[in-house]
Amino acid sequence: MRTRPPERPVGAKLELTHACNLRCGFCYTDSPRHTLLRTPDLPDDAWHRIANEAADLGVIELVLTGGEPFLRRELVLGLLDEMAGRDVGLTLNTNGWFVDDEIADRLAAVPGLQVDLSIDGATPALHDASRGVPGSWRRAVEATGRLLDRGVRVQVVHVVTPINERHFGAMIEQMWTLGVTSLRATPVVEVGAAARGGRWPVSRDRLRRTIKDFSKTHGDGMRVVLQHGNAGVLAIHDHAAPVSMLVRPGGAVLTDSLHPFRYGNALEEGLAECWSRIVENWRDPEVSRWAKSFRNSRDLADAEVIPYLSDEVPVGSEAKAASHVSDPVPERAVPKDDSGDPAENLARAREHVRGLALNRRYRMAPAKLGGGPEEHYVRQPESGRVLRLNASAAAMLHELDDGTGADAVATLSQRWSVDRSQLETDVLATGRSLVSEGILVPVAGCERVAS
Amino acid sequence: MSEEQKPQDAYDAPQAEEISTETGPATTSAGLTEDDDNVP
Repeated sequence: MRTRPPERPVGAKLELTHACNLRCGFCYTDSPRHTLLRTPDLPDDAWHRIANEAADLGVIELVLTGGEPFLRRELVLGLLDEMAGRDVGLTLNTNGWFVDDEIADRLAAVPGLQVDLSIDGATPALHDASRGVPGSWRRAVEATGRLLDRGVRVQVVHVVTPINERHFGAMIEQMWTLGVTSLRATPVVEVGAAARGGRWPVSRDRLRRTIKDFSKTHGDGMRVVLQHGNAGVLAIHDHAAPVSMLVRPGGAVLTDSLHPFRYGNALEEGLAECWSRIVENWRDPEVSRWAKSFRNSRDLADAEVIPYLSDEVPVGSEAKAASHVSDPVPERAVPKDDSGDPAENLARAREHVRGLALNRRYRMAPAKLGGGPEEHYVRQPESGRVLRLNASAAAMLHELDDGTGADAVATLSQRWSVDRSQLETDVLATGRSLVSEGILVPVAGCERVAS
Repeated sequence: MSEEQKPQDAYDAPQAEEISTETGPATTSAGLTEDDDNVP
């Protein structure tokens, strides 16, 4: 257990904007309310100053988030470029709506960037119902596809609700097909809008069983992680010192998203001063009293001060604050695709995702090939590992070198009379496997045009 | 017979397995080669 914060912060999470184009009923930052209210954010130059101060303080990871960061497109792209130049690890959270080819190209040029992209279901019906805006599933999976086409590291973040919970297996299967290598499932945290919108119970045991079943079928090709519960984090508050800081859109500095206590303002006092206050006061009696008042995560929604739904409390003050539980929030649109037969919806969605994955183009990494025509041996130069490929895997590698999965299926279906759907699955699986081995790399559309 | 003239072959599910190309002396769990075991 960490009983003291480090001398300097290890990470910083910057909430660049209150605003969001989606209307999730569980939004922990309560962004739909702020979007309606047009709650002001810090200007671009202030964020550049804050990010640079974080880099000066030696943070090793910076998380850019919102709201939806791409509602401030030039700010987020500028910050990514600037911070990559300062050798800071970067993670960007987005719902993917605005990630077109141009933005995907810009993100692919940021070294080491991880994009956390939110997808809440295997079908438009499930995702769009969660996100409150029709068309958001298609935008999100196409954005994921675009980023994977360019070799960007993507982690899909999946919010599990009582509605989409029983479709979790189909969801992770769908993401595997798309080529995703990491998925984080997170049951709703009952803060922000979620605390306004009733209860969100899901069975963690059932989710764990689904993950186990998936691993049995697909091995460790996709990392699926179930987010820890939050009550535990709060219960051990006195023994789990903060290592990072959170800057809210107006500049307020907190330790994280679960503690609604303010340690100053990043713009007015500066991050260094705010971190000193965190080091000094993170175990302030009022903070400890508040944190220890929870026995389970459901208690959060009944707390006197609810993170993101109540105003933040200046540290050192009594934990009481104005609540925004009754403030107006935008109407949620009824998703157009939330109708029809669920099995047909899922089949259509699978077809769309499969199409995105099969249209991904690859080329071979500079690996050395050996053996004869029936059996290939390939040595990966960076790891020195040698793989033996059987005839079908070797043929797939050959076809995927400057080809797409669809090209490979078309050619190989002439050589082997095998069910086309099985061939597609095998080509997708082989592509995934050879990418993870560093033998194949995905190539984006722009690179294809240039070559 | 060239590759193109061969009859259609049976389809096996694709496999890629890591193999060792090690041809040197066997190594003990302590990281010493077996010859070294006898070094006084």
